[in-house]
Amino acid sequence: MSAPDRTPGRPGRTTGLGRVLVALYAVFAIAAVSRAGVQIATDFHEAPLAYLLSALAGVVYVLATVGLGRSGPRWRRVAWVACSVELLGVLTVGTLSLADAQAFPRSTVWSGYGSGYVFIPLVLPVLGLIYLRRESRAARPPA
Amino acid sequence: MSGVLVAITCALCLVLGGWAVVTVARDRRVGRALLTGLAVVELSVLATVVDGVVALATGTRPVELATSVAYLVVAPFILPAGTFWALADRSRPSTLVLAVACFAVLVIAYRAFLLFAVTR
Repeated sequence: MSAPDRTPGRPGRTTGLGRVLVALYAVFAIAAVSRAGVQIATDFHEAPLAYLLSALAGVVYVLATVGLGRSGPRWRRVAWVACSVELLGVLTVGTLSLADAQAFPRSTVWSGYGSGYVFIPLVLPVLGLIYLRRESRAARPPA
Repeated sequence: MSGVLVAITCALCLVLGGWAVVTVARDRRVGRALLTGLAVVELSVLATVVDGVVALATGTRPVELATSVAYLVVAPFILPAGTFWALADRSRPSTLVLAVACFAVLVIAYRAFLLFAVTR
């Protein structure tokens, strides 16, 4: 990825690479929520744990999308929490799905560290956290 | 679902996604030519969706029916939403949003094609 864009846009708006992140998150929010919706609506009994995790992932993606896309300290906090939960989730579920395949008969977005989605679920929270950190540093320039 | 249409849509997505990346790499603004190209992709997407709806209406029943329908419903909105989101902030990297949108459409078109191939 290219260097962060320092063009001072209108303050309080997501600019530059942040918008790319929001776009990626939006895609995953839609994908995860619809996938969970379909799974829960059609055959919930087959793998309730996996499907509930899909739903949780969907909610986390939606929160991260909105948190990154909107401005203000409260949304930033939402974005921080969402990205952290997401990273934790993809690492935990990824490890569990490899260690105990029985527990995950149906895959989720986070299975195999997101290998079914070209590992974007693994990369996304890292990029999100880096972006948030950078942004909070830029907001508070060293005295 | 027509494989040719899906292939055309995917190819157009690759071209336009690449074009967006090149635009960012060369530090150019999104021009009229790129927007026209995106409009062409969107037309191709719409044609693919209509093709899918016709297939459903004439009795094709994919095993994953709900997912297939969801793809058809979501597909037309991605490029307009991505374009809007990219242009609302005219900074250099935000043009990459167009590449993300093109990639998403590519994946959706291809996945829809696979789903429509597995019928009851």
